[in-house]
Formats: sequence, structure tokens, C-alpha cells
Amino acid sequence: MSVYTMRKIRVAHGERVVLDDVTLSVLPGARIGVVGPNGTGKSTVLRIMAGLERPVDGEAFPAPGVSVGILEQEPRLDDTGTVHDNVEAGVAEVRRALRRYAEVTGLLGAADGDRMTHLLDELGALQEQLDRIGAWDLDSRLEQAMDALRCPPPGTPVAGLSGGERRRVALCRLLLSGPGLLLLDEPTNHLDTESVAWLEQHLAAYPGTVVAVTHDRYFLDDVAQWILEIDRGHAYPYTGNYSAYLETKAARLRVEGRKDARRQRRLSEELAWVRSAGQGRQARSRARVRRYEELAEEAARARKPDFEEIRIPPGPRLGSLVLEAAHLTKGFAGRLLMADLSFSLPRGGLVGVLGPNGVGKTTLFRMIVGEERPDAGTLRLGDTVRISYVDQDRTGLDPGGSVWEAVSGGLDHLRVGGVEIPSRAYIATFGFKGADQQKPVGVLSGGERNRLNLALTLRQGGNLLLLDEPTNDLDVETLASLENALLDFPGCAVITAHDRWFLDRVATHILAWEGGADWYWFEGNHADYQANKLDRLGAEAAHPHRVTHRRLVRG
Amino acid sequence: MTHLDQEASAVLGAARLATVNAKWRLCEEQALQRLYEVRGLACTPLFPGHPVIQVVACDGRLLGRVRRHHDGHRTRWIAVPARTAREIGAYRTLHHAARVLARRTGRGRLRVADCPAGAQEPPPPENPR
Repeated sequence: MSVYTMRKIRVAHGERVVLDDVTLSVLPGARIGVVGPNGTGKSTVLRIMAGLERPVDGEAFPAPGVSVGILEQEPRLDDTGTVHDNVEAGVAEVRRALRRYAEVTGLLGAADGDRMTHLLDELGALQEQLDRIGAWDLDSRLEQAMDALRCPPPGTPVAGLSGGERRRVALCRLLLSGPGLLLLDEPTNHLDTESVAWLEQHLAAYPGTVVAVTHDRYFLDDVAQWILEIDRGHAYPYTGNYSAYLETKAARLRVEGRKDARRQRRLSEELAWVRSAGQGRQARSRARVRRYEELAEEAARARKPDFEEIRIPPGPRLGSLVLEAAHLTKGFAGRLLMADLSFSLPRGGLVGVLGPNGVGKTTLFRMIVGEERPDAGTLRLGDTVRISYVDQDRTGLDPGGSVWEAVSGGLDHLRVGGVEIPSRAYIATFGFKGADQQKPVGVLSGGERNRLNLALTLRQGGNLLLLDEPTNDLDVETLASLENALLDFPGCAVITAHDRWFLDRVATHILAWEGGADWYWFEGNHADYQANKLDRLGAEAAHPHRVTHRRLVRG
Repeated sequence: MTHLDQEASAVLGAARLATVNAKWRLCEEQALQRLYEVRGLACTPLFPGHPVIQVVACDGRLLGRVRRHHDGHRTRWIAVPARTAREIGAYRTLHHAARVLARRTGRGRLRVADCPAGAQEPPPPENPR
């Protein structure tokens, strides 16, 4: 029997048909990953399943008795309460059952006859309920979840939280409430890699059914048993995980004789990486650094405009010194963020910066562009380095201006890396298609602002890119396009990201926060770094905990 | 009430719950011991002297519990398999519910033997003072 059924549903937003004749049946215990280009209706599918939106045609309903919970992109919290109040709201029913259990056992002492029989019956029902939902260790599970998801301290008022913090509190509350059908819209956004790994394990063992819209391909590979692709209003189910989906889809495109050569090429490249294992992947990332000259030559030759995939203009050639830190020490707002950090980024290097919010990633970027100075040590940039960076907080963009105006400055054509391309085509590669380009900058969602930032950064034409969480809210196709663009880019990049697949595919080095003011520079991709970390620090180091910093001592 | 009083009260509450829950588990073990050497399908009260909740075993192996529920109109026996804590149905008699539990292990045709507990057994869990 299905946990949820949709029959021939149709959804339209104004004139635009979002979903057309979609029929689905979700089996109990299934793990379903939902993929598809941005704006194709993935979130709409979840909202219909949660009862927050109704189709204009067809029927959609859960099985009787199934509880449904959803994590939306912009979740609703009780802004009058604290983090603790909101998380506790997710376990309010359990607390009520525990209180009643205590009451019943108290009443039993004075009861007899029929009264005792009724109370024992109720006690038995409560015992079953509390055993089933694992209520006996509720407090430790609550503490563990808040720690693993790096929720703000429990007494923090919700009204002052950032968007990412609100999502973490909402996710914690939802997971603890344990609905039979768990619907997640981009659950890994705003989570660092360790919290994502914890979430993955939690969902793999989740007793109910999970349907997640996500671009996290390791999540799709490790947790999903089905991939549901939403494309142009239709839903296509694929059995298996993300790797199986890539294989099946590549075969489907070949059989259909589709002339979409770029799409096939992108799929093939991603599949080739999936099929390569361990040492093959290590060899690719090392080869990138060794082949810098070859990469630069190829990029200089390939100047054909590409209007469908992301392309990063090559920028000037780099000299032997790119970015070098020596005994770097920096504090901020009374906290020591980094102590005695040394590293050297080689030509062609793409470094992934790992760590939760608040550990100093943005401060590192600001030191690289010269807006902040180290407290001790040095940070040197080579003479040939040209930085591409847009600080999201200081763009100086007119909130009333449109996305198109912000990127193009009102010009119909842009010069990007020496090549003229239509400005609308350039912006469309970042997921702003059609009327989306006319949206005022001031009303953009967090994800849209991220994509706008990426578009602004990449057109600057530098040879050292600083990218702050560029993978947030990109669909899997655009992610693959960005990865290919970075792999073809003959420059360097410093990228803060939590998308493990992205980091494994692209990164040649990792700079990871490991607690307090300790940072670790590693040559290799994310998977290699995690294996190395396990060897050095043991299994406990892999568990995420709340961020703490030493206070700076001024003597 | 001070903050410390509230904390102490919460700790005491948690301790009471843990004690009652532990007593429940103890009663379940003792019930299973009574059924250990009984051949075939058998049941015995979880709380001696109170037949409302019965532990069901087959050849000494725990199958689950059956609980008598009266909703004001009719009485039903609710079957809960071991290690699931999830009700699988409501039946007119205790024996029917016990056979349903046995059927899940492929042995539904057995007669049910009732094993009432001895008089020396402990009473049902109550809130420790």
C-alpha cells in the first residue's frame, strides 16, 4: 500500500503549466531524490504532498494515518520564541505522552477494580507509543541533533537568526518530530560537510519515508533508492541512486537520438568521473596542477562562445607565485580565528575551504582581497594575480534594478574573457531564464542572490576566483556545468563549499577548519582529506559539534 | 520556583519515568520466565492479578503483547508484535489476537494455553514516592 498517491495531477501558476498529468505512488520506507532544472516544479511536488498547495486537476492524497512533515526553502518558525522553544515544538506530542505516562503511573497507586483496568490499558498504549518513537532517550537525542546540525545556542531568540540558522533550527525540529512521510526541500543548504554526513546517516536509518529535493549528489548516491526527475512538467522515475540515474539517462538520450551534444558531453564527463575510483580521481586532480601550461594554451585557443553551459574566461597567465600564507594569525571580534596557518596555492590549484559558519572563511577572503590585514604572519599574492570576487554584503547593487541590469549594466552584449556574448544568454546560464531576468534585485531569494553573485564574479575575468558557497541552490545540471567550467579554467580558485561531490570532482587542495583556530592544508580532494582526517584524528573528529573559539587574551 | 528547583524537579521527573519504565521491562522478563518451559502458544498477564495486558510466547519465545481495550462501546484485544511497539490489529478475543501474532511467525494453528501468574508476583508499576 502506498504512503502517498498522485493521479494525473496538473498544476499551473498563472499561464505557466508547472506539472502536467503526473501520476506517482510512493512506497513505504522509500528514499526518493527529486532532481530537475530550477523552476521546473520540484518544490511544488513537495508542497502538494504536504497539503500546502492544491492541484487544479487530478487527485493527491496520503494514506490514512500517515503524518506528513516538510522542510521548506524558507521555513516558518515561531519568531516570538527561542531556538529551544522552536525545537521543543517538534517533540511537544512526545512530551505530552511522557507527562501522561507519569500521571497514569501515579494514579495506579490509588486505583482498583475497573479504574485500574482502564489505567493499565492506557499505560499499555502509552508504553507502545513511547517505545515506538524512542521517547526514553529524548533529551539526549535532542541534544545530539542540535549539536550535529550546529544549531545556535538554545536560548537564542529566533527573531535575530540568519536564513541559514533558521533552516538548521527548522530541520532539527522536523527530524525530531519524526513524521511518517518526511519531505525535505534542499536540506543540505547551509550545512557544512560534517553536518551533511550526519544528516545522511540519520536519513538512511529513518524509520519512515523520505522524499528530498536536493542537488547533493552524494546524498542522492548514498541514500536515494529512486531518483524522480521533474522536467518540463513531467515526472520520470529512475530506479537506483544518482550514479544509476546518470547511466540510465545517458542511455535514454542516446536511444532517443537527441541532438543535445552539450548535454550528452556533460553527462559523459560526469559519468566518467563516477566510474573512476579512488586513485583514478586522485590522478586527475594532480594532473590538473602539473598541466597548467597545457590548460592555459587550450583555453586561449577555445574562444567559441557557448550560450548553454557556464564558461569561465581564462584571465591573464599566472606566474609561479599565486597565493602564499606564512604563519598567518588572525582574530576577529575578540575571538582567535586562525593561528600559525601556512600554505602555498600552486598554479592551476582549486582549493575547497571547509568549515561551518563563523569560523573565519569570509575573513580569509577579506584578507586575500586586502580588506583585512593579518594580526601576524604574511599573506602574499603574486604580481600576475587578478582576483575575481564579489562580496555579497557589499555589492552596491540597486535593489530596484533588475537582475539583467545588475549583470549587464544595460548592455545587450558583454565582453567576457575577450569574447562577445549576448548578455541575456550569459545570465540564462546561471538559471535566470525569461522573465526571471527582470526580477528586482531587492526581492531575490537567498539562492537567487547566490546565482547572481556567481554571474557577477565569473564575468570579472580574473585568474584567481574567490567563490563563496557557489553550489547553494544550483540544480544538478547547472552544478555539473559549473564543475566542467572550473575543470577547464586555467586559473586558480578558492571556493567555500559543502557539496562533497563538487569538492571531490573539482578540488586539488583542501583548507579545512578543525576546531578552535586550527586549520589544515591538504593536497587532494575532499574524500582524500576525510580519509586523512580519520587517520590523524580518529572517528570522533568526524562528528560535528557546535563551534567554539578561544577568547583572545590581551595582556 | 528557582532555576535550580526547576532543574532538580526535571531530573527527579526523568528519574521517576526511568524507574517505572525499568519496572515494566522487569515485569516483561518475569512473564517470559513463566512461559519459558510452556510448549506451544501461551500467554500470561504482564502484571500478575491484572489480565488487561498479556505477554504472548510460543515455545518460550516472545511473540509480543496483547492489550484489552474498551472504548465505551465494545472491548477489543490489540496485538503488538515484539520489538515493533506497533499495533497490527484489534480482535474480539485474546486467543484470536495471540494466534495472529503466532501466524506472523508461520505458526497460527496452535491452541492457546493460559498461564496465570502466581500470587507472590509483584504488583503493576506505580509512581515511586
